[in-house]
Amino acid sequence: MRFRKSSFLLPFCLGLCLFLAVFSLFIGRFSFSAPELWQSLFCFNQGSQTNRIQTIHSILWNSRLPRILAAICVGAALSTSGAAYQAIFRNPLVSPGLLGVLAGSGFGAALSIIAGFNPMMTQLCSFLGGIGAVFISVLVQKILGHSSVLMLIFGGLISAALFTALLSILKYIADPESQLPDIVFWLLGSLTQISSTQLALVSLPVMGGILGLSLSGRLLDALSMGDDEAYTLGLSVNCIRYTVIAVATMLAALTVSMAGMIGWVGLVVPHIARLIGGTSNQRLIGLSAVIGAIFLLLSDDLARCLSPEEIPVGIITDLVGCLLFLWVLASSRDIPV
Amino acid sequence: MTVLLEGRDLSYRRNEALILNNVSLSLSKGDLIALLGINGAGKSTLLRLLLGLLTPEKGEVFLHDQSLKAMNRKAIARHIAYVPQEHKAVFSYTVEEIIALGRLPYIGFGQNLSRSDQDAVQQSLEYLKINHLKNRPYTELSGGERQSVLLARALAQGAHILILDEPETGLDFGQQLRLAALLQDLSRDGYSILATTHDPLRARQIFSRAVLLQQGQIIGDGAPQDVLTRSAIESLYHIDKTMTVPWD
Repeated sequence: MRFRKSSFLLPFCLGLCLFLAVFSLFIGRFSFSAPELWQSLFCFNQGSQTNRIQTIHSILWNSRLPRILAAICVGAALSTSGAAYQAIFRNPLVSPGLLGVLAGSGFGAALSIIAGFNPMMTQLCSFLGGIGAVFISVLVQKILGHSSVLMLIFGGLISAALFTALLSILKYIADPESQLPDIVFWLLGSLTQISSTQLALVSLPVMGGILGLSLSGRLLDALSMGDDEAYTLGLSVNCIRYTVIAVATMLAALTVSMAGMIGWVGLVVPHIARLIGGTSNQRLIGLSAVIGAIFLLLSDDLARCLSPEEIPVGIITDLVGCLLFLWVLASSRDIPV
Repeated sequence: MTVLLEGRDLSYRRNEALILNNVSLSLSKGDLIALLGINGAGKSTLLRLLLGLLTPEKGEVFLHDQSLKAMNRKAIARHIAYVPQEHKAVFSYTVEEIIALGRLPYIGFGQNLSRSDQDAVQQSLEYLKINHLKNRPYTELSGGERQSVLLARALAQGAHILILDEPETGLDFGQQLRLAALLQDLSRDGYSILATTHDPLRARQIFSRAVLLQQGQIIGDGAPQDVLTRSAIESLYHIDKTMTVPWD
């Protein structure tokens, strides 16, 4: 109990995340030493360096550093989004895909690939697809004239099923030589094609979203008590619920637009954070963000070095996520039985 | 005595069915009111109207002579606290974390609990004598302990009007006695309490006032000994004349 409430837990995890980020710089087919890394990062002077240092500099700045920062960004965003969804839907088995954001993002990206748009447009289409799917979930709830959370979940089921079917149609009609492999690779989830520009565009809203949800921890705690209790504790329940859904959806859609479908992070990581840091969302959201970053950094390291050909990181998170969820099920108090 | 909370001529309809019909009820300082009636009589609906969770079709609720409609949720929460029949815990919050939520009406977005908020949480833990439970997960408590935690949260809320929905549900005999003593203590300390109950005998023993609700209308309101008569019980619960009522 003392460790769970310890003020050192978050700084410790942040330190671990920083250590892993530095460690991950060394992971990859091209290996180099620590002094070479230092020279390439901090003492680099174009023209006066050896070819090897210039190559290392290029690999670091164009490939590994953006990738590592993307892993941190995506892992943190997905975990935060998952923790927020679990609190507002009062269900520890909920993940960010509940309202169809992942299916919608997948459809948007596949549509863009088939239309022959550039990668930047694919990101945008994916983001808009995710937002559109959640909008449809809310629309279904409103059309049916119910404001209950259950009706919103039903809306999410309908929206997710619709976009999954549309995605299947796109896969069916895609050119099997040129378009289908791109769609499949994108759906598997990968951090290989992240550029610094993409990262810069996405990281600011992601950081803003994570900060906003972290500051809402106490409100999420009250919402997870149920609507009546939250109302009588002084909350404007609907306003807070839809704002949180909007922010959590934006986070999830941004991650899919950047890295494709990366499963299990949003479901499993909040449970791990709960086990080691306690249930209150005041600590849980921030801790989930950091543990999510660590989880995806480690998964990406495995994806890079497990085989000669790189494995899409989504496959690794699926495999590791299953095992971790088994452990969570065995250890957690928060899983309904 | 000054009226703190008043529902005037409240009517409420659900799916065309009239649940409450022109009901008026007021709470004054120190009132300890039992609301009785069979299932479906409209007890919970009346509580929800008084809490501002439902909007009446007709009539209005006043808190300190101010319409509830004109007040924001935080302002209402500083005056009225709600203790649900049962809190279905999904996540294993600690007792202290749950009680600290009672301070939400006093803190802004992203703010931490101030020293006075922490003091209020500590005082309610001590008032309910559950200090030893504060680090325990709520999900691992007994029914009586859970009821105490929800009451402690209501006290931490700083509200002096407490509305309880069937607080005795799921409590064993000893826990029911302890709850009864606690409600009497709170009433003596100036809290105004409105609680629904299915136990007329307990209502006669503990409460200072009984309100009988039948088919959405109040059929009796006064001192329990005067209101909870043999004939009122027969009418309210549809019992046979041959059946024995405990205080006969």
